[in-house]
Amino acid sequence: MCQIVPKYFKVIYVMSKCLFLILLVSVSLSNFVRAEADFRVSGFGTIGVVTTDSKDFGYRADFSKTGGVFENDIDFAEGSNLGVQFDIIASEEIDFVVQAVYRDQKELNLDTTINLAFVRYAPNPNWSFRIGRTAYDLFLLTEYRDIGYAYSWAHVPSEIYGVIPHRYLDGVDVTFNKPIGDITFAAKLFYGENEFPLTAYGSSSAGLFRLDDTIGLALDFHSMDWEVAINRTRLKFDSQVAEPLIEALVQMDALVPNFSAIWPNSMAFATDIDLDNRNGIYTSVSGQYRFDSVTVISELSKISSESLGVPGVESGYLSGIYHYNAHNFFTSLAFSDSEEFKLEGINLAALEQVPFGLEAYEGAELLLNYFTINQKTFSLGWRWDFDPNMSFKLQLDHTRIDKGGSTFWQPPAKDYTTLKRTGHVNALFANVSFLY
Amino acid sequence: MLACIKVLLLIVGLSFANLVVCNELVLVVHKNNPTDALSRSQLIDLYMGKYVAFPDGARAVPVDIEEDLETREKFYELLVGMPLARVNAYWSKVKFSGRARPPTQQKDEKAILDFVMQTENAIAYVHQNSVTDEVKVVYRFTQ
Repeated sequence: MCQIVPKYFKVIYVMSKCLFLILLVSVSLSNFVRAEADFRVSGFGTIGVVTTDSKDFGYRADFSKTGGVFENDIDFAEGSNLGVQFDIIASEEIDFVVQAVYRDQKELNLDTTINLAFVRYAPNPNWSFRIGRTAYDLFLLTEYRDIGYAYSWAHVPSEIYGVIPHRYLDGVDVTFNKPIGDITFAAKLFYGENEFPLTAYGSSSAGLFRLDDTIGLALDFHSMDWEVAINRTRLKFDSQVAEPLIEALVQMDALVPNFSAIWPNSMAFATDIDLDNRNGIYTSVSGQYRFDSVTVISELSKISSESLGVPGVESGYLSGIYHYNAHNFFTSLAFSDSEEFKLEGINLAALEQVPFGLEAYEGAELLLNYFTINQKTFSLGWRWDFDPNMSFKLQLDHTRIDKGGSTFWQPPAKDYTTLKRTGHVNALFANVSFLY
Repeated sequence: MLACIKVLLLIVGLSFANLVVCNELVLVVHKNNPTDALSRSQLIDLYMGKYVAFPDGARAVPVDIEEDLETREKFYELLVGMPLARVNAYWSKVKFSGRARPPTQQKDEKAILDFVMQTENAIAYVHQNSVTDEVKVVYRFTQ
């Protein structure tokens, strides 16, 4: 299972490809920019390693990842990335931002590498308008989850962020800022669409999960010592993943006599499991308070949807960080609680006699559990800022998985019948993150 | 003799105090800038990219010192009580999420003063003893 050497070479190979890509983009941009415009290049990165003590639950950074880190694995791919950003300041009112990130994408091309590509028009300090590819402002950390240097932990909490791999939004947004006494208020309204790979159950491929008509509002209030943020987003799932199951149920209902006695309410279930064109609502309330040497940060989020394919999830975390010179010691408690929907009243013995009946049942179970994450994680860690632009982090997570909510973790084999649904995992993370 | 020693000590003490005041960091703007004074909270908004404007609503251009890390560290410690690494961590999330641009940089105090003298909406931190008649002090950390 130890995959150090191939993964090491893969990371170097793909990083060099990525650098070449970035070089191409930068040359094109510098030709485009007028001589008098201000052109800035900067970037960020993380070289991270992770290992776990589990044979049953393979760690992955989020739902877009096909790999899993099991007992005795030393993995560099899940926690490493490299980014570069080009800022082109054409005038006081107009600037362009292009950012490319390598994060071990399954498919590496210009579309999957470009994280930001927008033009901003800010007619005055209160208002700004952006069009293009912007960071996805769904929850507190979604805009900068890949910038390891930006947060104290070795990774963002999987309980909230694991289930949402989407990084960017192709669309428009408008932001309003205003100081009110010692408090500064910011409101952002955004609209757009996006897609990102999604996978589970040990599959080696990741299909694109598309989100349309995404409209969101992000409100932020902050002062010198505290910050409160509220995010609410409504979107439409654009996915045909449930279509084969729905079609099979419709066929069985039409062709199998008395099918409603074998699978009660099968047609209602077929309607409810459909994801396509169904609405989802994502809400987050977060806050942080900075004492002299301690920062407390917390976030509560809720996902609700019109489809059984995306169950309601409530999740959150509470974290305390103690700052001592260049050292930051932290502890966190995170949880995720998904709604459970069990297929009940189905006559499995009779269903076995129906052609493709059991396959339909297994497919329904897999779809129902696809986004089910029920777990709690306790973390302890240390961040050492050994340079103003470099930090070392070490973090130990202890995770307990219960109520069948293990889909975030990869199984050791692509065999749905042997999936383990409850248990515990210890994971150790170490990384160096940097800015340049 | 004792009186002489006391006077000498007083002179040394006053000179030292004067030296400390001369080396304090102050915030300066172009001499034609209508802003006469800023609060610490307004400075934090300006230098942390939260609201980059003067009190009259005019857009501001904050300036950081590039080569003198000691001065930059001292400034942010006085302003937000954070070491430079944490300030950089803050800016990395603001900048790389595409929300705002960090302050523009000038290599040393001379370049900073030249920039402020030529840019009506610039604001920068310099040592008190570098201040010239071409710029206006709008904030002192000792106030």
